[in-house]
Amino acid sequence: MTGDPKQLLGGYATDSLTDAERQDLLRAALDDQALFDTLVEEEGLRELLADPEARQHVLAQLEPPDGWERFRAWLRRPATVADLLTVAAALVVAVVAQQVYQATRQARDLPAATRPAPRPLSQAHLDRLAALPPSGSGAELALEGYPAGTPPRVSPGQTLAIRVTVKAPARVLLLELRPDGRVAQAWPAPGEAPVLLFAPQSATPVVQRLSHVASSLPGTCRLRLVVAPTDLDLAAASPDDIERAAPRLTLVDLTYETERP
Amino acid sequence: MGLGYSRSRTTMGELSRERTLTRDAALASLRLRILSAARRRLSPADAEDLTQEVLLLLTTKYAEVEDPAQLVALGLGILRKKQADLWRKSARRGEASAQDATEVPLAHGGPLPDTVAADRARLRLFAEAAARLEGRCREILRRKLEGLSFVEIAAELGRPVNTVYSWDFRCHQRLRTLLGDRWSFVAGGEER
Repeated sequence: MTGDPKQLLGGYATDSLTDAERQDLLRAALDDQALFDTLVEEEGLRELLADPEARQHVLAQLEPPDGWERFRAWLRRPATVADLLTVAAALVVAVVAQQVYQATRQARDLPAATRPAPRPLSQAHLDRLAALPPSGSGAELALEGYPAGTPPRVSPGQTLAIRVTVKAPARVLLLELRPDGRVAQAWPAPGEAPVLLFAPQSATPVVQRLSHVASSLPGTCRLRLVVAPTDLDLAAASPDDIERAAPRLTLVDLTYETERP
Repeated sequence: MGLGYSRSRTTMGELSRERTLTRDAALASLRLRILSAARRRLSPADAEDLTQEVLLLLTTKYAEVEDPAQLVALGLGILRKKQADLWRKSARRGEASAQDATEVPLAHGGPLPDTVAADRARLRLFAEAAARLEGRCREILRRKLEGLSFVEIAAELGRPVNTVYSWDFRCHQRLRTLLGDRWSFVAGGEER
């Protein structure tokens, strides 16, 4: 038995109360005007539902709905509308993200020939690059045929075999600081844009072999390998911007001595 | 409980006197409740007359009924019928002072046509509201109309009966909310 007879109200009109429950409710109504007033209303409904045909009519409305009706009722729920809107929004975001990803990937996988051709660097660019301190890692510069360590001594005008190793993809160029203080582009040829190197497989370093004619001036020469990321067009930057781009560069030096003739 | 209906008496004389007191006290209390309920819907004079008519029936036709709960049930039923009769009479011009139309049997002996029509309208509204119930409210109402008690419904749902009382109370409130202004008519009030 419930502690609050008011909770039995719903069973009055449908005659769902046991004798004890009914007694409890009716006796409580004798002392509670609000409950009595409510029961006066429920009495009208009770008379209505006392007719078996009327009960059957209401019961027919309460039969479990078939699949299609359940689906329609599910669609009408506010929560369903909110869920569907959420799913639709998620789909739109996914499609947009997929398209952005595809566009990015296509741009990244463009062959070098279809990329905008990088422009050659000016002398001012070369001077600024030569003035920066060595930095970065992941690239190597070596003279083949000479042991590493002490600066090798070479004859003026001697052809040197140089090995460049970088983590591709990258834009690469080689500078030479001559004994007279001039800075020249050693590779690729002066006036050409930095070379774009691709790796045949990801995470595989690229080894590039090239030849270089040693300076004809006697003294100390310094070769500087400049490695830039593919999205960094050094020529597009002003010479002053070179220093700001320095943290993204890898700069490796190699020194050799040119003997007097 | 304001009046108290103790039955702990030992002798027959005491028991008889207690029964009388209990009945008298219950009728006195019931008179107040009926009068107050009638005043909510009728003029003070009509409410007073209606209350007297209900009490008259309870003290004459149902003089042997002593159980307060049964008196309340009878009072509710008589009040409802008398109230409906009063509305019906007042709705028909001139019949309030003429012969009581409800006392005149129709040729076929069935209920009055306007009563039938009103009951059909009530039933339609109630069924429409019931059809809008969802989930457990729908299930509980269906079982109640099938004749199950709260204890039986609790057993079917595998829940304590007190939980089913609470659910049903809220569901009943929900049903009344769905009916809105039409609840009064469905519950036997005047059509607006």
